[in-house]
Amino acid sequence: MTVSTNNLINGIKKIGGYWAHSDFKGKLGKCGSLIGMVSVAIVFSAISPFFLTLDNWIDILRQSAPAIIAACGLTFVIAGGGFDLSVGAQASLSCVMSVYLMLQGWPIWTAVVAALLCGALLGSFNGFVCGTLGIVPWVGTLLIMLFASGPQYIATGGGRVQYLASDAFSAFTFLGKGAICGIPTPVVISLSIGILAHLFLSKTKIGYNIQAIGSSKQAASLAGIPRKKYMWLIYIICGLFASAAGIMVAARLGGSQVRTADPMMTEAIAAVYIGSTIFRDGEPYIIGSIIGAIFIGMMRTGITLVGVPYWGEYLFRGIIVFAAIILSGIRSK
Amino acid sequence: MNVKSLTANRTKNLSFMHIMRKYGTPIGIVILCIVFAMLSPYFITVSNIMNILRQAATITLIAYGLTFVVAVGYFDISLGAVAGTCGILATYLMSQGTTFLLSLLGAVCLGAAFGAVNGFAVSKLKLNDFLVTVAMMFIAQGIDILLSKGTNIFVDTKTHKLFLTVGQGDIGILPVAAIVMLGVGLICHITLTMTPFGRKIYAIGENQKVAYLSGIKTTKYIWLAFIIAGALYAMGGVMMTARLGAGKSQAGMSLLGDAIAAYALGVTFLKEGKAHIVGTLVGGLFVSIMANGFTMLNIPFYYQYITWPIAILLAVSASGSQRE
Repeated sequence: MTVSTNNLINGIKKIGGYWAHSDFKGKLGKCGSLIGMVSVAIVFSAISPFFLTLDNWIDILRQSAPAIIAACGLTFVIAGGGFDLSVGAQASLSCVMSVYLMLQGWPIWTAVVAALLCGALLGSFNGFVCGTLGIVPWVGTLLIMLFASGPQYIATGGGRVQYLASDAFSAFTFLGKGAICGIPTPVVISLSIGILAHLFLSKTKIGYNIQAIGSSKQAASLAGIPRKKYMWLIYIICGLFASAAGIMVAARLGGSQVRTADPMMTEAIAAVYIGSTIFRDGEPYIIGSIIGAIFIGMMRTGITLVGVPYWGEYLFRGIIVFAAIILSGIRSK
Repeated sequence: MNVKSLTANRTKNLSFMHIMRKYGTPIGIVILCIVFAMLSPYFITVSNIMNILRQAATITLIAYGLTFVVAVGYFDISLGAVAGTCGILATYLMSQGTTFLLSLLGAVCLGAAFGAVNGFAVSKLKLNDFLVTVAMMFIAQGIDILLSKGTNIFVDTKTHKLFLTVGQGDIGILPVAAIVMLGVGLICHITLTMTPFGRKIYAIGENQKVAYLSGIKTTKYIWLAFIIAGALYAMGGVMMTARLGAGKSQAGMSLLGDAIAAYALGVTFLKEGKAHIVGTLVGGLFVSIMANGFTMLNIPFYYQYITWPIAILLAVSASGSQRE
């Protein structure tokens, strides 16, 4: 008996030794986020029986769709070493703008393209300020974040809600409310955009260059990558994606309200940072951002199901960002 | 090619940009005043000028807080939300029957608490200052809504006369608010420029590593800077509610743009690129004059979303303060 307990204890000590000497912490760090997410899902499903239903999950995916797109766009910027505070504001702007143009009689797709171009334009301004002028991205993109609310109020005459009431817009609202082969359109669109973004960032030369700049500006410059041009590029891409997200919000709402997509900023930021901890050590990458965005959508749905009062939403956002940065260990200068 | 002609040319080339950098903001104020005075006869009246001073108080107090944070080398985007929330807390306490001074104390404590969390996360945990303060901004908004339930909290001004006086009263000609703004500014200015504490703050802001190596306990001072900033934000928030006579829910976003603009415009003044209080005061006046002029000319509030970025961009690019 004594011998076998000794063996047992020795065995445990050996395992403990492997535990300590192996890259356990690193591995836990890499899987930690997923474990955390699954645990949260388990907790939610324990509290509410509706959580694990297929309907709920399709709903989560549908609601997360704009955030997924925005998070993908932001991933390009963060992977390139910058930051973009204006993601939410740009989404709101394109949301209001596309609806406004459609109500003014513009053809649907022209309005959509115009809104996307607007996003690219604001993105290029961000690129100019942060790249060419060299202003710190936080302050630089703050400018557009503040600016973007202006045209929204001006166009709506002070903040009125706009409705796409007539059937003429059904092609547009199909983007937000319809379904293709049973899968909601937003889900199809956002996931396809996500896959394309992933392929672009991780498999193309431009994508590699972006990641190179993000890793080390000096090394990238020395390797001959034109840094300023790439700064413009990442912000333009982010602006495009943010606008696309805003257009999707408009399609889903069937109208627009001033600043309605502003919260997307926190969701996108948190998604990218949480995503960077899934299987990677803090490097932002698209698949992670998509998972992060879905996780945040899941948390929001879960919190609503559990019944947290409305002020909880803000606290929730703040805590999410905190969790994201602590998890990914973003260091300050 | 003698030396004298070389240097003479250089001074000429530098001089315009140099003047714009150093004195751009006061020149801007003068230009604004002239333009507005031409467009409206009410602009140069004594009561309007006092109004401008009174309006500047809120934003300037908040911008003082930001000045401390930037002086120590970081940024704080939670300032608007914290100010708004502390204002709400103060009015909430007053509506429950607390005296003004105690409510003010409570609000300042809350602001200091926010600052303490920010400062801790940035200095001890070494997290990124922007992300931490973004998170704090949302948490503050949550508490704001929790206390105010989304509506404004009105304060019974009959029982809280001191509250009303601070926001809307005068001592002689000068509004109390302006006196508070100048007085607090004086204290902050002296602290930052004439005390060892202030010198250490600037030292950390200039180069944190060197400051640390020369023996300054950087963690402690960064933390303190954030706490002081939080307290100042709270004062600004309470000042805003005192002016309105009520707590305004969700006032954070509008305060954010104004306060940052005030700070940014001040950075160029006198000492290029260094955050300092006098500049912030001038910046606050600039912002207040612009807002006042807009109201006089009946320009809707949301056009400020366009003027803030322009002002901040001009100020930041001229001063070179937020460059990488």
